[in-house]
Amino acid sequence: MTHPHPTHPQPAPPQPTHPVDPRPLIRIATAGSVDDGKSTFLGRLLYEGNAILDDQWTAVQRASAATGEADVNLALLTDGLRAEREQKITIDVAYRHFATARRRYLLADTPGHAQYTRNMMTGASTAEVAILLVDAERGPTPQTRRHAFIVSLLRVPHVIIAVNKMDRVGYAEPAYDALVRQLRTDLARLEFADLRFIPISALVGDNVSRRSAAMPWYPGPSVLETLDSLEVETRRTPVELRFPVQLAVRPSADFRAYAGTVVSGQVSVGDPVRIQPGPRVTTVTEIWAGPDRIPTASVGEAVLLRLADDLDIARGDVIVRTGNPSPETDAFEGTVCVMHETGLAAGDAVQVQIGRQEVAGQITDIRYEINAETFHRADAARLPLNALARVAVRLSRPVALDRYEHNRDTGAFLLVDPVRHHGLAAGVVTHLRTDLPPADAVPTQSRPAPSRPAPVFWLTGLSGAGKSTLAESVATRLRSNGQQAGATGRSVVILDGDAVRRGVNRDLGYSAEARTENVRRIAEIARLLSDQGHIVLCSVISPLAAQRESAREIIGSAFHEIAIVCDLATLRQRDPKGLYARADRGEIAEFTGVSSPYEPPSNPDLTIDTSTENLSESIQKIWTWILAKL
Amino acid sequence: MRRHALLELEAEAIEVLREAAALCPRTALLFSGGKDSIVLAHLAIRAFAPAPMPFALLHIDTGHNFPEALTFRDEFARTYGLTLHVRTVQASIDAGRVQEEPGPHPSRNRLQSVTLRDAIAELALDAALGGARRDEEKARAKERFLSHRNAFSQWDPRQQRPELWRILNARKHHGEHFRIFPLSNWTELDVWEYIAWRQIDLPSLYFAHRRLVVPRGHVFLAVTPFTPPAPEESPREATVRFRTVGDATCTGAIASNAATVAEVIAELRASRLSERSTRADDQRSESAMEDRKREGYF
Ligand SMILES: Nc1nc2c(ncn2[C@@H]2O[C@H](COP(=O)(O)OP(=O)(O)O)[C@@H](O)[C@H]2O)c(=O)[nH]1
Repeated sequence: MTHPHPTHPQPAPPQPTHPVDPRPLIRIATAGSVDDGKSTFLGRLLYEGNAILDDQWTAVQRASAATGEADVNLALLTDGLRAEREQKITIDVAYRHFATARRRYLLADTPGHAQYTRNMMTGASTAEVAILLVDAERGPTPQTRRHAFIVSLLRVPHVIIAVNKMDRVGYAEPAYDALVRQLRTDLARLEFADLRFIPISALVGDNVSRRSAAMPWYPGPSVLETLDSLEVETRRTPVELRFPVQLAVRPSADFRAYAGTVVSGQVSVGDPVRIQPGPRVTTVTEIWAGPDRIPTASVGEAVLLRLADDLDIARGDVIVRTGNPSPETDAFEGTVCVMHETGLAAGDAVQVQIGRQEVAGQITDIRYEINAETFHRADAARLPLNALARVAVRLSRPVALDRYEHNRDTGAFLLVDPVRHHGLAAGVVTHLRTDLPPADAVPTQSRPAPSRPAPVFWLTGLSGAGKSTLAESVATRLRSNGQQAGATGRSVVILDGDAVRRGVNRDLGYSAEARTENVRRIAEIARLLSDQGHIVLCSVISPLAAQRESAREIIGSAFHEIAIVCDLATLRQRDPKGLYARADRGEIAEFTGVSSPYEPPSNPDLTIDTSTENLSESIQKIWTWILAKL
Repeated sequence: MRRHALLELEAEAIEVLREAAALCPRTALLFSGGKDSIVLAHLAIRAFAPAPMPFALLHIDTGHNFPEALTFRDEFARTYGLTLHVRTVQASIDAGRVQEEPGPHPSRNRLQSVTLRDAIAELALDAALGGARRDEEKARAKERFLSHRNAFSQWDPRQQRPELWRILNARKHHGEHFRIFPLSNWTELDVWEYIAWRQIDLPSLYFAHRRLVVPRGHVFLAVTPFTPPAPEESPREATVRFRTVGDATCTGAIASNAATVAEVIAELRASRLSERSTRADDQRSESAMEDRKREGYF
């Protein structure tokens, strides 16, 4: 094996200029199958891109000499990863810098094997350019398709396929043309915004930085020239403002600001903004960049925003322009890559990180596993490490998110093991549950069927406190006055604890576990109904705070807790079904309030006290309150 | 117009610093009075301005530091009103936690990791911020922004957490902590360019000055109480500067006339070229490698 010593002179780096080196930093990910020549290519790129320090160079010369090679083996320059591979230890992403006179590059080098799909994902997630190597002699391999799939999935804006080892095929145009045709056919089902092919020889140095004299039939630029000319001046980010809040900064009572990075669009002082999720709106009053106040912050800038109103804004909330909000949903589908040996299966509880939001969630379904080499779909029960799949995710509360194709930052997510805390999978949002535009982006007349879950009103209280009576009267009023009440097109369902126990939950007794299960099932049913737009009134004793908390988790933000309070003396006196008397005589075991505990809600959304109010007062109070929630 | 690299690296570091503040309530910034930790501290100040930064400074003092760096350290904390915790290797030795290396002029470089581990436990830290960079060496090239450490402060490369897009996963169990490296994507030259751009003060050690030294291998060792010359060595005065200002027993000076930040930058740029194009065995390149290894040691 011979490696000609690269002897041509290096371009001089620009003189130190002050205030600052104007070159931008471009992030690249590289991939190729084993032996496609990636190490050699990278070595040459780094060498010719002025990135090899003399100490590294000396080490490589020494290593080359040690193996009896006459010339310096450029592949050794990047062989940190190869050494790992041979020693069977972790293979990971390695980052390297190089530069040209125009630009600086930060290169994420990822290994080629199928089992390192997750590493390829990692490198590609922040890349603006992907370079895929293909061996001209051997042609594309299954790995080539896998890498192309990931690069397409992650929407890396620019993709360069470098057809390497052209020297092995006599620098022949027909061989190159045939290969490019085959690649285009192979990859026809994938989407690329910008896909280019370049014939190179990494070993000889053709078309890596210098144009090749051996391939006069190729009129295009070398790889490095291509990198230098890519359109990166304006980043391919959408124009909508997205500002995920990292934290509130409050040095004193009269200064409160929100720290974050503008991940897309821009924001100026005076802009009307909305805080998502939810309808909170306000105006930007100040923008701080370090110690300076600035009028406008654009994509990529890390700033502090001050707002006109004192709103309750927390980490994870997203600040957007009022006219251009993100959709809000608590269920979405995404394409994920499994990042951990634990794997992933339907039903798994996960902690979902989207932008700076972190919410509890669950994998509700694995739609299909994707074979990244054939692009075929197949059913899968459990996804192993490195699997790619479409999954459905449900969240415990709605979040603001975008589809990944609209925004690479607010449409990407990480699934974390809620107990062991390691990353399970990373993915991109492909579908929102409704895929409808958010309510305020659509004129009222054309607003489609309700896209958000309908509210669930959870009435908790002792037997005989008035839960069922109040639920019935509210339901009746909703049915007759619903049109005016803003409940357009929504029906009302009552889930009464006793009724459910007679049917669905007939198998459950009154032990603590059985009561918890009773509440869980009712909450799940309420959730299903609410999802489909039905207003739900649950009248369930649900004696323990933990049970109601779990109902709140299942139902999410649609959940409203209403405490129906009545003191025991009054209840014993009313006792319409004679139950308290029987319980007091010991004829009913585990009767709530008598022989089984009841924990009153500590912070209910509404309290109705039926021992101090008369029935019509109570009805009026709950009705008015519920109307405001519709 | 696309922003220049330093702006991008600055924004990235600030974003990571803010994640540290948001996710790890008790975080300290490892501060030695060296250039990387000074740049990191300035970034932390920027990240929360006009509010104060929410991190205390923590210095693990080997007891072999240059007085210029220690003075700078103390003044920095005073100027910016920051809490400074100093934990000494000497105290760890006295407490029997570690043993001094045998021999006449022991290096305490290796011992300091025990002192650091103890300090993290004592201060109940969720995270320690460090100025390490991926360009320092091959192993560092694979580090994450957030590096998870188990309850024994160990780094398990196979359990590295995936970091995609801008998402950082800072969930941990009680007793575990993170090392956080906001400068991961910076190069040594970036650090210097940033110092020039943001007009950051450094200890005088970083600039050419006259000093009593002895040549050791390819570098010069400063003559200090911890590093007296060997009997056969004859100290001489030379114009030198330091590329790092760690423990005096293992921090070499280089011959240099670079007396300003701009001159240091010019020297660094030139040395890269000459290191490549002229002598394969350039002395400075050897020291560069050593310097990086030491810097990466933390
Ligand atoms: N003829 C020829 N051989 C090459 C070229 N690029 C790499 N090679 C050889 O292909 C083999 C694999 O290269 P390497 O860079 O180690 O591949 P990697 O596994 O993708 O990193 C080595 O023997 C290289 O010398 C090229 O452009 N032409």
